[in-house]
Order: sequence, then structure tokens, then C-alpha cells
Amino acid sequence: MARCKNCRLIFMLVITGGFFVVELVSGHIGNSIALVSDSFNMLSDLISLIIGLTAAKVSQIRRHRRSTYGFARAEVVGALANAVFLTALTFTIFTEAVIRLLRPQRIDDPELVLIVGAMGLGVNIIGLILFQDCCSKGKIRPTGCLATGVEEQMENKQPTTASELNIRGVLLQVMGDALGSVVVVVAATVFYVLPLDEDEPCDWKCYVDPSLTIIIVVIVLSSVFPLVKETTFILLHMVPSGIKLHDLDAKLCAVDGVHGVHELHIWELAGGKNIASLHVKCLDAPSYKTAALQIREIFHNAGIHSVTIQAEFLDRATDSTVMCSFPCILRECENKMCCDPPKDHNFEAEGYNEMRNNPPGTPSNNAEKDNAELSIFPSYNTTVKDVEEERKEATNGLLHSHSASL
Amino acid sequence: MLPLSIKDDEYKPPRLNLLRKVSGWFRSILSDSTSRNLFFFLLLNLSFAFVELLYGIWSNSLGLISDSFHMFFDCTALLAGLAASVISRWRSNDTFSYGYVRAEVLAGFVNGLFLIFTAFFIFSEGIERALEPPDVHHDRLLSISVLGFLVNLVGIFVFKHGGHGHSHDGGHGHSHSLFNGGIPGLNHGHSHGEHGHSHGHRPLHSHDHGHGHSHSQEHCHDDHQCDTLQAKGSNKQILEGVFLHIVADTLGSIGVIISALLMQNYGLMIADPICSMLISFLIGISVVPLLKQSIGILMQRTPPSLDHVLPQCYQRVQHLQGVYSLIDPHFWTLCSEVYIGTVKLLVAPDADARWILSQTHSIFTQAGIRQLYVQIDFAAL
Repeated sequence: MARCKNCRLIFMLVITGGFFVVELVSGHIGNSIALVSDSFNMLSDLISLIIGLTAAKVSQIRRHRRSTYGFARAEVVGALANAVFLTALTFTIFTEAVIRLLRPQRIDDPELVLIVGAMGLGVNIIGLILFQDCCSKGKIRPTGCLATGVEEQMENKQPTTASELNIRGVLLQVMGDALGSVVVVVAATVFYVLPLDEDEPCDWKCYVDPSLTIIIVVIVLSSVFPLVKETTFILLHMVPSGIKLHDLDAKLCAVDGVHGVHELHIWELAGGKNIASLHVKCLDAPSYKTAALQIREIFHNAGIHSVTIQAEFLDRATDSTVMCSFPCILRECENKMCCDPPKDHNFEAEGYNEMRNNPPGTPSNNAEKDNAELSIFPSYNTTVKDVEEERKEATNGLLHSHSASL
Repeated sequence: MLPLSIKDDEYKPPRLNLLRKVSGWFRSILSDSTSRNLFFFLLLNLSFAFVELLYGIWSNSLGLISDSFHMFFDCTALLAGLAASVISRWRSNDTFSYGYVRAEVLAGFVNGLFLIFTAFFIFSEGIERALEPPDVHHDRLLSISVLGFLVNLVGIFVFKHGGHGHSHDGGHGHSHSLFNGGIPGLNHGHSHGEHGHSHGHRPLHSHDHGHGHSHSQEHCHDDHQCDTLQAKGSNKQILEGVFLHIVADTLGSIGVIISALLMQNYGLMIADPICSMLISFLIGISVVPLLKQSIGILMQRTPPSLDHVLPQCYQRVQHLQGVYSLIDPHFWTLCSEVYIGTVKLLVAPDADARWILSQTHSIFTQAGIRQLYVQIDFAAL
């Protein structure tokens, strides 16, 4: 079934291409501007099909030298491109309709326009039927593997989400065209049934076309808008719907051996493939190893299967801070970081100024580096605590640092 | 209206008073120089378009009316850039863990798509007019396009210098690379019976914007400069898209003027469609670099400026004591100049994880990647 998604696109492409050529040639032969301009509507359909097909083909590339994640995002980008094209097209149609309202024109050859419009409508209805099952599958939102392990089901559902968006973009374009053809047919019928003489001024019949077109523009725009929103949110790296960052945070902090979690980022590559990365503060390597397994399990249950965990090790003797050790080592890098550091970073402290005067080289052993780190980020309080208190502090600090960044 | 998506309220921000929201936006717009420039230029364009529309309605000239619609369309490109520059400054929250900084990449992408659409539209109009040359009357349109040309010149100067003026000692004159290729064709704009459109689209020229710009962020010596430089860095993509649009417009006005002169004085009717098609090709070609760059960023491609540096970094990391291998590196661009990477290291069971971590970080920091997640996997004994 998945393979045939491309078959449908190719088939529709061939039909539309053929119809476009036929319309262009016959418009030129028959010297009718209406046919030529309608053929350009078909051309825009063709372009959106080409975009959709290219995106579908490209997104199947799994690995590429320059693109380590493969081209999985191609379909999302293709859907956005289609939506933007459609918006621009409807805007143009809207302006022409408004001009027609100000200067109404009659349809000169209603028969020809009627025939052409009907044929165009036929082609578009074929397209609608072909693509309509993209969205009738219902709201597929993979919220994560259930603990009972319905992995196969998830595998089947996931790949459709991105190609769903892609097909939806194409479908919206075809639908817009179909509605346009409907309007053409209606207006031509009106003129055919109640013909208007050459020298009569334009009456209500001339206003049918533009007013219906404006209604269509409103319909199409309101349908395109959700698609634009969805693709934009994926491209803006929104946390995938169904995953609550705060809950995940709480679960992660509750894991044995974890003293702090920060820089947690979760985003969707495309089609349900979620990727997460985080920093975890642990005591030492063995406790990190055991904690890592549990952390991965938590993510697995949430539906996130590509996780990169960076471990940061506490120095029990001197370090009681839960601050992140590695956002960066100099303050000047702040504008190159992806996110703002938590508010309670006390950069103005004396230790930090010391740091600035002695830029860090590449130290050859731990101790120097640790001291360098500590002087950048002074802890809240410098007394040594024992582990229990550290854990309590950890959760408080975590909530605090997260709420500060909100 | 069709039931094609679910309504998901998770990402709706908390309900604020509308007035407060709008005034918040205004404050945000006026605080940054780039968005200030965009806003005022948008106002200028909008007012010009309205004046044109009213004049066209009053003097009953379809050419003017459709040209004013065209200017409204261009204003949407400016609006997209403005919206992106405001949105990209919003703070990150629970739903958008990276914040909204990617909005500028999206704005560049959308602007590029609009430009391609315009090129396609001009091309189709050129063909239409070549097949059936209409009768042309361009008297009023000529004066309006001269005015439009002046407005766009203002825009060019503002965005050539406005976004890039900064003092720093790294020396890179900025507005250089964007103007090299010269401005060959014109945007076409013509007036003819029913559908007078003067479009300005200009294709710009291929610019190698991507790499020449590590000027601003390298050495900032006090906080204040840092803040302003950060804003400018992240607005690069927006400014590029907007700049391309404005130059396209300016060329268009020149095109109307020149083709009107040609037709009036030499009767070269064929000049009109040929100009249109030439211009649409040029626009298409000039937009390609911008589109390639923004699509690359959106598709999580490894940053092009790091292409040569990364293999060296991998080599150095693999030579660290205790590291068996480096697997699964992923590096991508969040927005201009901000790179994020994840890497997994397979290390010996007794290796010093802390030292390896700090070494890896410093190696990659020297390459310019400041946000790195290093996962250390201990090999089984």
C-alpha cells in the first residue's frame, strides 16, 4: 500500500499533464483566452504534483553524506511548499475576482467554456477520489508505544504521518482547482441557459462568477491554514503533541542515581520519529550506567526512540551545584547558544570574572578542568552536603531552573 | 473547513488581553532595528499601495488597480519577514523547547517560495501576451512606476545598510557580496488593457551569503554589543528574503519604464513579453541559493560551513585515549550560526569518562559547535 502512494501521484501527474497540453493546444488553435488561462490552472496543479512526488521520492533516502538524518523531512517541507503555493495562487485569484467585481465581464463563448470546465472538473474529481483516503484514516497521532509493546502497529502507522501531510498538500491544491472548475461550470451554465446579447450591459449574471470565486477563496484558505500550522510546528521543532515535557522531566528526575536533568530537548524529525537529547548529572560512571537504562526505558514508553544522553559527573567532594557544566565555557558564546541559560546563573560572580581573565586552554587532567568549571558557575551554597540532601536539592533546583527558563 | 485535522489546544498560549498583546508586539517591533526598519518600510509600501488603489478607482484605471494588488502581495512578503523577526525573539517554553528561533529560516523559505511563484506568474503572463498582444496604454502607469521605483530604492538603501551596520574589529564589510552580480534584467511590468501589472521583480544574483558572515559573532567584547549582534545574526535570513523581494520590485519598475520608452519611441511591441520571460528566469535563478540554504537547514542537513572541519574533529576525538570509536554523529543548524550536534562515543570500560567528555567538548568548541551532546557508551568487557 505504501508503495502505491507514489503510483497514485504518478498517475495523476500523467493525466493532468496530458490535459494541460490538450487545453493549451486547443486554446491556441481555437483562439480562446479562457482555455489558455484555465490551462495555467492545470499547470499549477501539475507543479504541486511534481513537488509532492519529488518530496515523496526524496524522503525515501535514508542516509546521505551531507545529511545524517536522511531526507525524512522532505515531505514536511514539500507539504509546506504546496501550502504556500496554494496560498499565493488563491491570493492572485482573489485579486482577479475583485477586479471582475469592479468591472464585470460577460463570458463570450459559454459552450466552449462549459465543455472545458466540465472536463477539468472531471480530472480534478479523479484526483480527489485518488487522494481522499489520506485523511479518512482518522487522527493518527502516535503518542508512544504502549507498555504492552504494540510495536508493529506503531511501525505501520508512523510512516504515514509525513506522507499524509504531503498528500494533504496535493489534495488541497486539487480541491481548490475542483472548486474553481465547479464555479466555471456554474457560471457558464448560467450564461448558456440565459444568454446575454452583445450590446446588453452586464446584469446580475456577470457577478455570479466573481462572487462564487471569493467564497471559494475563503474555503480554500481556511482549509490550508491547519496544514500550514502543522508543518510549521514540526519545522519549528515543537515538542511532539502527546508528549508532556514536565511529566517526562519529573519521571526522569525520579530515576535512581540521577541528580539533575537539563537541556532536555525533544523534537520530531518527521512522521512520528521523535528525537531527544538531554544532560544528566550523575555521581560516577557505574551509577550512570544503571540510570541510563532506566532513562531509555522512560523515553521508550513515551514513544521517543532516538535518545542521546550526555552524562555529567558530580564531584562529590566539592560540587553541590546542579548547574549545567557544559552550556559553554565563556559568556560570549551566549548569543550562539540555542537557548537562554537559566536565570539563576550568576555570571557576575567573582569566580566568573576570574575565568574571563584566564581563558581555558586544553587541560590535561581532570582537576584543572573541574576547578575551571566551578569558578564559572558558583553553586547556590558552598557547604558540602551529603547525598540525601543533594537529591532533595537536585529536584528543587531542577524545578527552579526549568521554571526560570519558561 | 474540511475536517482534515484535529484541533489540538496544547500549544495555545494563555489568553491575554488583546490590547495588551498588540501593544506588546509593537514594543517588540520597535525595540530592534531590523524589525523597526521592516515595519516602517511595510507601512510605506502599504500606504503607497492604498494610494494607488484609491487613485485607480477614482480614475477608473484597471491597470493601476491591479498594480496596487500586486503591491499588496509584496507587502505580505514584508509582513512575513516582520512576523518572523518578532516571533523569533519569543522565549522558549514547554512546547517549544528550542524557542522560536527557527522562524527566520521559515520566513526565508516562504519568501523564496513567494518569489518563485511570482516568477512563474510573470512568465505565464508573458506567454499570454506574446500569443495575443493587447493594446497598451501606459501613460499613468509610467508615473506610478517611477514613484514605485523611488520607494523601492529607499528600501534597498535601508536594508543594505540598516541591518548590517555594526562596529567590530573583525572587519568584514557586509553589504558587499549582495550586490556583485550586477542587475541585469528587469522586472517587467506592463500596462495593457485589462490587466496592467507592473511587477517589479528582480532577480538578484548569486551571492555566497552562507559563509562570509562570521563577522559579527566572533569577538564581542562587552555584553551590549553582544546583544545587538545576536539580533543581527539571527535576522540574516529574513533580511535576505526581503532584500531579494525589494530588488525584484525595483527592477520591475525600471522594466516598466524602459519598456514603456521602447514601445513609445521605437514601437517594439515584442519587447514586452520578452522582457517578462527574461525577468522571470532571472528571478528564478536568483532565488535558488536562498531556497537551497533554507531547505538545507529545514531538512537537518549538516551545516555546509562545517563540512571540512567535522572529519578532522572526528579524527581527533578518535585519537583520545580510551575512545574506541565515534558513532552516529549528527550535526544540524538550528538557525543562522547556531549549530547543534549529537555524537556517541564507544569507550573502554575503564576509561576516564569525565576527561573524554571535556576533551570532546573542547575539540568541537574550537570548530564552532557550542551545543553538543556527547553520549558515552562503555564497551562490554
